[in-house]
Amino acid sequence: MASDSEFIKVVDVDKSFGDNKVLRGTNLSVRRGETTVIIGRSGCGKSVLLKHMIGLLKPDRGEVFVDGTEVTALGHRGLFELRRKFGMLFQSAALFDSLTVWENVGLGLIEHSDLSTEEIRSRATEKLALVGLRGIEDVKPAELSGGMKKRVGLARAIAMDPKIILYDEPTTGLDPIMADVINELICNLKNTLNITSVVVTHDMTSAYKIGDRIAMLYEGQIIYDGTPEDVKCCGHPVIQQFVEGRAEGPIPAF
Amino acid sequence: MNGFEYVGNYFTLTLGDVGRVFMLLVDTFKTFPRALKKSYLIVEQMMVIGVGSLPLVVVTSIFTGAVAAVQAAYQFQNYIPMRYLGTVIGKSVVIELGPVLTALVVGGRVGAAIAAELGTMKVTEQVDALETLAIDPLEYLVAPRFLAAIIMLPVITLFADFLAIMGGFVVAWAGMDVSSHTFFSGLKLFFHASDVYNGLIKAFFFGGIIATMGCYHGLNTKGGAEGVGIATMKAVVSSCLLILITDYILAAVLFRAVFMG
Repeated sequence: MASDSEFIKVVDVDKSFGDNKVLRGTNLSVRRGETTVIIGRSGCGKSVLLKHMIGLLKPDRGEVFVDGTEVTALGHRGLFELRRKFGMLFQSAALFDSLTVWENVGLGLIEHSDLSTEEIRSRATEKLALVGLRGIEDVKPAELSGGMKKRVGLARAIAMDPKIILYDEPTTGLDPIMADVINELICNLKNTLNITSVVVTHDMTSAYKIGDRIAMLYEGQIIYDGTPEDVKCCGHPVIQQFVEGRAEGPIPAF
Repeated sequence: MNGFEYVGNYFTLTLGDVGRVFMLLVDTFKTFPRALKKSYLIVEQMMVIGVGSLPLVVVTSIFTGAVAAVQAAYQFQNYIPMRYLGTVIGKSVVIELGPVLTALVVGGRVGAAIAAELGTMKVTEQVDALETLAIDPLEYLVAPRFLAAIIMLPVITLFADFLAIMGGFVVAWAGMDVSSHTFFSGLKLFFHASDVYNGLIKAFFFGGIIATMGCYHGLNTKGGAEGVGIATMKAVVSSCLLILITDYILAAVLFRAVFMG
């Protein structure tokens, strides 16, 4: 169904929560080895779209394909097999508060590999160093700042060496310098490990820096999909209003 | 909404819940072969559910036995010899008071704790995060709690039975001049080991109810702090009601054979 270059394909997906139609016939293709950034206003359904890709939500209508497999048709076990290819960073980091930082990062390895505790701990330490965190392995997540939690979440997302990483607002809540560190890291992961990434954000600096393609979600549909250069000069009034951050324009502010 | 609609809606919702609880149980049973390999998770929950509940169970059962002694002696006055005091306390404790009161207090404590923990994990996306790590929440969260509860409830109940009888004995001996020989010979009279087993079978089911209600309401939590509060309340209320209803059903099934035969 999906051609070889299309790693993730979302076809005509509808999703409603009660009377709120969040996705209305959404279509999106994510190419292998590229970073696709999904932009859009807060609450427009970007995270919902992301959760469909990993099977955390099931669409009311339509299909989602990952690496040629139809996610929407997979059963319970099949879904868990597929998810081993994925890493996901949550908006709120979603760290397990009953576990220490290194156990959070290493949980996937603890559950799915035969590695010894020491090996898992050293791998977790290694991944934490990649996101610039040292010496906090034995701390509980409740003691960390928001930015640190996010970076631990990122270390956890890359701990299993996934093929695809889904980022839900990776730079929100970080200071500009740390946001750039995360941007660099996303670029590095793509360049060195050929990881396919889908990033949901409304931070345009980040979108321009990391995106190979930028897609805009508006009123439940992808209204534009192009390179960062295309986006800057596409002339579409809705996109221009968003990327320039103006209150006046076709998108109602309230 | 008229009366019929209200009643209809209520039953639809309740039946839907029954169906979903049943599905949760079936899906959880399927994970048992894998969950049993992770014994550390089960042992951890056994500590929380069993050892953690001991102080509460000690106080509850000692006073239950003591009250049983006082009430039985009051009803015996001038009609029934005090040597039957041990018989009455022993029977009522192992058949009914031990399993049911233990389940109710443990249900309050453990059911609430499970629902609040899983509910918080649900609303803070920790359950979703588990799924993205290809870890099945049913295998990682529900199965260990369920297995620990069905193992530990009978164990705590046996302990509670013993403490309640001792509580009853202390009151009878210290407050009613019943000698230890009189009390314990009364206890042995009509004492059937099957009564204890039947009580423990009840405790096994009660353990399943407590864990299932805690997990079901926890995993179906919606919203934030308010949702966690509602889930916790629902878990405690539903497990207490189900314990009492199941107690009747099991009594009819397990003890009928004894009376009829």
